[in-house]
Amino acid sequence: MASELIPEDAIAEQISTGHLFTEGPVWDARLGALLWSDIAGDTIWRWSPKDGRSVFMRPSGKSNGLTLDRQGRLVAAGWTSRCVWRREADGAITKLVTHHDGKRIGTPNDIVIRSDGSIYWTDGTSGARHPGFETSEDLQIYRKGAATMRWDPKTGEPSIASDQTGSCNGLAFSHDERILYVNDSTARLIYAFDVAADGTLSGRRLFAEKTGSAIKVDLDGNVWCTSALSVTLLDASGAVAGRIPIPEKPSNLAWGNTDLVSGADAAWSTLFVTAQTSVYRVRVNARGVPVGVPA
Amino acid sequence: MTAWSATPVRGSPFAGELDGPAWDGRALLFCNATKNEIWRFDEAKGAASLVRAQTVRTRGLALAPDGRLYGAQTRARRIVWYRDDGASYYLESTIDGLRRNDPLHLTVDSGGRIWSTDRWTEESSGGPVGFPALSHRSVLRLDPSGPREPNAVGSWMLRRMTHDTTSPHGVALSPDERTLYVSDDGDATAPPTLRAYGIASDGSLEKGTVLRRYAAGDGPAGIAAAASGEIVVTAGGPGSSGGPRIEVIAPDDRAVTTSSAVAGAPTACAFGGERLETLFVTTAAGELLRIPGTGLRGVPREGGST
Repeated sequence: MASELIPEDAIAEQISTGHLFTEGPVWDARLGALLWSDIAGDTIWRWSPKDGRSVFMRPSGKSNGLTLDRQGRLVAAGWTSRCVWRREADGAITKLVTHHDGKRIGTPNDIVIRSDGSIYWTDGTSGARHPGFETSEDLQIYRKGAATMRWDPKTGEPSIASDQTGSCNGLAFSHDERILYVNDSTARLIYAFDVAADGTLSGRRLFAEKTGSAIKVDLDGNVWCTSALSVTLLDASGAVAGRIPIPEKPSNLAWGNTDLVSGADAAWSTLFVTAQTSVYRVRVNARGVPVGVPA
Repeated sequence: MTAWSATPVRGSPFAGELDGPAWDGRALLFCNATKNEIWRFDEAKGAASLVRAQTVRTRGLALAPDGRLYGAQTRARRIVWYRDDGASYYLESTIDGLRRNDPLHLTVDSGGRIWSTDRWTEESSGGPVGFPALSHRSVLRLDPSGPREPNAVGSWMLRRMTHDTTSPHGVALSPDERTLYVSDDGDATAPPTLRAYGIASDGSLEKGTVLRRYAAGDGPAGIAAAASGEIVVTAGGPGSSGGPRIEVIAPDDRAVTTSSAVAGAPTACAFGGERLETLFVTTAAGELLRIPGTGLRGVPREGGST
């Protein structure tokens, strides 16, 4: 399906393969490189147009979703290491959240950071069910279902932002941070919430159906999500406006600034897509929302 | 021996397939595999209570001599240590660098080694990675390697023990731990069997013997060894040639000495009760059956002290 945002000749180009299960891509503008998790491979990889692929972190605690805070520090949904962690400038790992209400949290799946420094993540349960995803941490799931959770940087405490997000997986703020999109990858739909100034969520509504496991937004209010064997472009109303075929089932996606231009000229127009054993990139005509750079 | 009479315990039928009974020294633990739960039946109270949820299709349970509870999480293709504080930790699940298949039933010997059956089902290929099947379906054994802190899972070595099984299901040790009994579901070309293997002093298995052959669909599943040497197996199911039943097999001439019909499709059995003279039977129809006064006694090692 055509769209002015998707070039006629848009083709997903494979930049890395041979992984067990790729997830959590994030473009690190400081490094000029893409980072992503191979969950079962217990590794965070790094790739740049210039230097190709190398190991960034191993073991990774079988990390899943990755993002960067405004200081450029890597923040990870720790999946079966059962925590949310941050990588400090010196490389040390700080565990930000391990427990909620006295119990070990679930298996953090995907993660985003609001401009006030609060961290939102989807706290799933499925990580503890899959062969090959284990770590030496407790594998018991204590909460009955998944929830979307929030970590408050002022108190350092986690809380449930919404327990009405089903088998929540990917999540993303609109670029003005007034809407939070969360998808339920079992029901294959995306919910939208209104985000109050204090970060609380309300007004849950169905935004789109027949979607996959991850969401990113652009500066013009469009939503880019994974679906069966493609990346799907949704307009601000949730209607399908275009598709980019991906050779493997995609798990997640990220905007990248591969032109290595900084400031107002930075385009963030490359979509990186993690899909099963590989990572792909495709150039589009949208302006992605930058991650990990000062507002 | 006259045929036994089995009575469902209060609460039966539970909503789901039951399996994996194990006497913990005071009560009978069992799995509701469908609902991913572990329950505990207290004889004195005559009632069962839920002790753990989200058990990832655990179908087999076994207690170690040190009191640790191990479970076979079939869908996750791993054996876990179910700690008393509610946590669960997984044990080595790769063999020669490859992911094991589904563990089903398991038993722990006096040396703390965990013997488990390992088969392949539709669920085995689940999960995002889809690890391929091993080239064999065998009895595997986890051997502790190195010292263990009381609260730590420690390191383990997983090794292949049988080389002639088709789809092993139940597993039990003789009272002297010199014989391993294995039930095998067979496949389209091999009939279900009950097999025995001598255990050499170095822990390896000798060549296996087929104790009994069964008609397709009528084979043995769970096994419990009696202190006097008899082998007790659950066998058959609704519509099978022999029907659902509990067989007691003499170890010397391999003859079935008694066969007791039970309702439903029995999945496994374990001795329990104060003197280990009660046989508990789980069924796929959700029933936990109780057979008191069997005239046999369980092996005290199995399921902790008495």
